[in-house]
Amino acid sequence: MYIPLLILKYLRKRRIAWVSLVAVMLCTAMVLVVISVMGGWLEMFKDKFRGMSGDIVVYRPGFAGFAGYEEMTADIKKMDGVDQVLPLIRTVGLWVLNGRHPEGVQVTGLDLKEFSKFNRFRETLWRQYQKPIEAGQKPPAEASFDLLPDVPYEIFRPGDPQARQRPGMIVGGPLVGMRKDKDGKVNEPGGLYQCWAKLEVMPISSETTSIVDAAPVPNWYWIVDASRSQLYQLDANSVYVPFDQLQRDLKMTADTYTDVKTNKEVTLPARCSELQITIKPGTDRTKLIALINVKVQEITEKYEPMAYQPVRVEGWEKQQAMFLDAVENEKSLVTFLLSLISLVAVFLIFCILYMIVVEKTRDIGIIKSVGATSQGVAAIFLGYGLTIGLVGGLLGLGVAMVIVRYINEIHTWLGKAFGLVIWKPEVYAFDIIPNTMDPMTCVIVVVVAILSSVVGAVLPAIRAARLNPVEALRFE
Amino acid sequence: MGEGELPVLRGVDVSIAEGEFLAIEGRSGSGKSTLLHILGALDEPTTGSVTFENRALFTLAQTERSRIRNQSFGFVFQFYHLLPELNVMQNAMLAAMVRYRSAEFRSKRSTLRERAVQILDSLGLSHRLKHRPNQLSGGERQRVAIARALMNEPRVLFADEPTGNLDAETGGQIMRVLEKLHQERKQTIVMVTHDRTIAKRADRVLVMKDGRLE
Repeated sequence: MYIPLLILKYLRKRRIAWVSLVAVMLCTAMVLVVISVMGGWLEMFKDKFRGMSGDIVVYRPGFAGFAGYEEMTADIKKMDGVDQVLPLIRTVGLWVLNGRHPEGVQVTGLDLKEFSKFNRFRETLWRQYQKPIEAGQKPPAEASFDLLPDVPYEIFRPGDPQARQRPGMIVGGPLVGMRKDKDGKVNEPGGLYQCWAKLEVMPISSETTSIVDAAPVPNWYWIVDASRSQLYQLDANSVYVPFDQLQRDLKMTADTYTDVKTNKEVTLPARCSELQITIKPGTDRTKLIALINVKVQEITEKYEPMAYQPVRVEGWEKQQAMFLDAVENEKSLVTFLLSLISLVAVFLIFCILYMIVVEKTRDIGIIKSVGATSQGVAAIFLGYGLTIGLVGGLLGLGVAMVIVRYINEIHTWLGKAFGLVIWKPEVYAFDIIPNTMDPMTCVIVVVVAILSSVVGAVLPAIRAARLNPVEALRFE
Repeated sequence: MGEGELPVLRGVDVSIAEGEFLAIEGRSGSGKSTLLHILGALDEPTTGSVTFENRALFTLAQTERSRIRNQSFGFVFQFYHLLPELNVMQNAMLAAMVRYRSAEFRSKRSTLRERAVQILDSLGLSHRLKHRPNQLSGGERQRVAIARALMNEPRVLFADEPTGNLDAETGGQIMRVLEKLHQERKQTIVMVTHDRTIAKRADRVLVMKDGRLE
């Protein structure tokens, strides 16, 4: 009974120990906030990327794409566990808005109506989803590249007899200056849907060896919507156009040519850059990837036996590994470094408890004189360390929960009060700082804080236990 | 003491009967406190043995010696040696808190509290239960130390210069407490002192000189 009584007494009366308690609290809060923000960042990345992708991706690195995708699609759709298969084209191009603002962009060609049902891309669209939702209205069931019916396009491109036949284009919000204002409201640039953009892409095939061979193909598009996926690095330089249009511009449609050796006509089927595949719940993705890979290699071998780059079949995470691994590694590194810094708290506990043991030498002698064992005396100081860790850890958890919960408000306040903007959307992918905490992570960090505090208390406890009671009683 | 070994006791042979009040008198440095500490199993002799109730103390494990010290011995020191963070009641109950684990202590709490109050009351401290040692006089602190020593009904009470830090009148009060314990409860008391007049109040006086008992 004396052990818990003395632990509590020493905790309350020996205020120097509060220094180590505050150190544990701050280290716990620091580690938890960083893990939560970076972990949340990683989860947001994964979630957003996941929402813009299928479960499995078939692609060939580079811009040439691969042939036979229609045959692959038909065969893959028949496999057990496959839900949908959609082709995409990805390339780069020069994009000029209203003839004045050139940008290098990532161009994606997709069937938007099918893609609306495939993943969450539709939810990133401002005019066809986010704006109606904000206004409390129901958005259209499908998104499209259709021109707006009430815009007199002929007026905005006089001299273009095909003005109303030009296809629609969706642009990343930041490309047209769409961002949130200081009150958090999205500012839709005035006249956005009266803007046209010239897009030049370069048709590249596996035979292309010089940029001269890939003569740019221009086309003109009307802006019909903006995409705000919250993946800034994606939104800042992406445009989306109809799949068929881009396929024609890149000369990726089916091609018939005469084989010089056989003098026979050979048809090379149409090409695309990627097949995005969604699977049904409960499907073993790894097994399915292996099956799809067999089919893909079979068809690729048939149409492109001499291709240098193989067509890959991967889970979506592996395709996005460049982004995700970087964030994962940053999270691990920062957590490791902070944990290393937290060793300072362990050392502080050691120093303070050692000091307290020296200060309490006579008390230890008294306790031993009334019959306490060495183990009992050690238990006082180990329990003291454990209590500091427990109280400090729990307080740190509380502080971290408050900081993480209100981190965006705190950040906004810092910006207004001191002009301090740490989280810049231009640098980081999202316009809000992640603010959720994983319960298991919290438990682990607090437990580690407690164990670390006990470790810091071990040597002082051993010293206390070994004290000779007579010498301790004489200590001055 | 210091870096080398210094012989303190040079052949001591003493028996103490149950119910006896023995005083060991000697000058400072004569080894009397060392003898007391060894008898009370607070310290260990380099040679020799201490037998208590037919048990050789220093053949027992440390934990067993600690148990005997807690349940069979009580100590009163010259400088009281109370825990400053605990109040009078808690200091008095310290030996009981060491004796019983938390769960058992809680089940016996009211009985133990009653006993502590009774002892403190008999020592004239019933109005000081919530006070801390720094709020007490020297004599009051020594009486709290005596209460602590008596809490577990010790077989032997060891008193190391119990009046050494007190004035004559207060010292006399403490001695009257010890005498009353001896007379009324037949408490076995072993006391060391440098003061001959204090020593003479015991049943038997042994003189310690240069580590030897005369």
